Amino acid sequence: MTSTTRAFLLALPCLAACSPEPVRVEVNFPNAAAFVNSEQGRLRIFPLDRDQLGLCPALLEGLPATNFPVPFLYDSDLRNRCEFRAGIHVPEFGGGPHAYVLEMRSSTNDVILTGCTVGEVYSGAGEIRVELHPTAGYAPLLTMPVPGTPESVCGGATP
Amino acid sequence: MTRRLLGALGLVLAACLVMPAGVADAQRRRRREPAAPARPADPMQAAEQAFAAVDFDHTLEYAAEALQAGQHPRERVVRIYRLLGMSAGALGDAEGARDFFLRMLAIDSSAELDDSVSPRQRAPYLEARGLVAARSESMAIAVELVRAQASLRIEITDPFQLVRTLRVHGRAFGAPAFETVETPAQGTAMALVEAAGTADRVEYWVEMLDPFGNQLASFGSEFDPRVVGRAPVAELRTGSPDGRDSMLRDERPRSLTEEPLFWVALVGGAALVGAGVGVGFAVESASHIPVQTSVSFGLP
Repeated sequence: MTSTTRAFLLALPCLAACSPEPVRVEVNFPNAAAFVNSEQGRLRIFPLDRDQLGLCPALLEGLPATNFPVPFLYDSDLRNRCEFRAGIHVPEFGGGPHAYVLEMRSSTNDVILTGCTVGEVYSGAGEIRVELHPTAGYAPLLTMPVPGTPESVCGGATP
Repeated sequence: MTRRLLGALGLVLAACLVMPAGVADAQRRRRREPAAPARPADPMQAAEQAFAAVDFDHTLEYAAEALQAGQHPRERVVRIYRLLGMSAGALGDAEGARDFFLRMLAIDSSAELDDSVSPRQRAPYLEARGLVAARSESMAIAVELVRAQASLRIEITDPFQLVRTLRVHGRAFGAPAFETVETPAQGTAMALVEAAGTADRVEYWVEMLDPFGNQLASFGSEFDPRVVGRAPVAELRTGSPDGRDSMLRDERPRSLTEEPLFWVALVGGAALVGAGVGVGFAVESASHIPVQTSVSFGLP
């Protein structure tokens, strides 16, 4: 083993230790039934200026037509609900405030839950919590039986 | 009487000799034919004039004459080859044109043709350009000081075999005048320069010449010569046993790794680079944080 290779291998743990911990974006469903009723979800992240911190209502109004007042930085596209549970890794992006906008869709592709939070990620930051609230599209589901539990639809333990 | 007859006969003979020219001029004036312009004595000017008159035959002839007259600077040699190439191309000699353009580009790889040149005439130029571009080498020299032989050893790179002679101008560093020698341009040429036998450093400039003494390339110039020799040496003073200072000269040139400053710079540079990488990594890490989702239900 050459000295260069040895030095590189020695440096690897240091580099790994230096890599920052991911910041958690917690998607909060009103209850487990809302999670089960959600077939797919979509996360978008919008970079905001300091004078745009109150932009969440306008961003939610842009759903589902995606008629947003500012361009988004990241779009997860439609993902299965269980991927959100397992943890979607968002590519790293720069600092500053960002709006995290989530929409969940039913099996009939109606937007049934939405949520928006403005937060800033930085090294050592706490989690960012996006609370989902039912939309008018959720009403028909209230009268229908819940088709399982988070564990039954995704497998594994409750997060 | 006899003398008078002889004088008249002389006049008649003279008139007979002069008359044809006078009559021809008169006839030309009558027909309003333009007289052919007198050819300039300088063949280069003559070639330019013929080219301007779209007389490619004469352009070829005069440009070749100019080339053989020799002693042209590099820019003019390029111009001569351009005239030769364009004329040969215009006369339908594509191979000849390519050869002339090849020589032109070997001397100056950035030499271009006018935009006005037709595509047919441009084709040999483009072909020559491709041939030149395919050769990674261009005309070059590498010079070393050979003190034992009071010479400059000159290694020559001449990919198109155009150079016949090297004209070498050398002088001791800082001396007022150059001495000039010419030497055949073989793979490695030795140019005897008197100053090379004694001087620590020799200033020089070299011209590459073709068989006619035309300049094909110049390395350095009279006003911006190159330098070959040992680097300026350090002077060390030591105390001699008899108490007098003696001057010692470190004759052996020190290599780069023997210079303490080299190691200071190396270690310092490595430390700076390391610090820079660390800071950059920290800043990068601070400004780019990964994000991962999770799920929760109900109020926490």
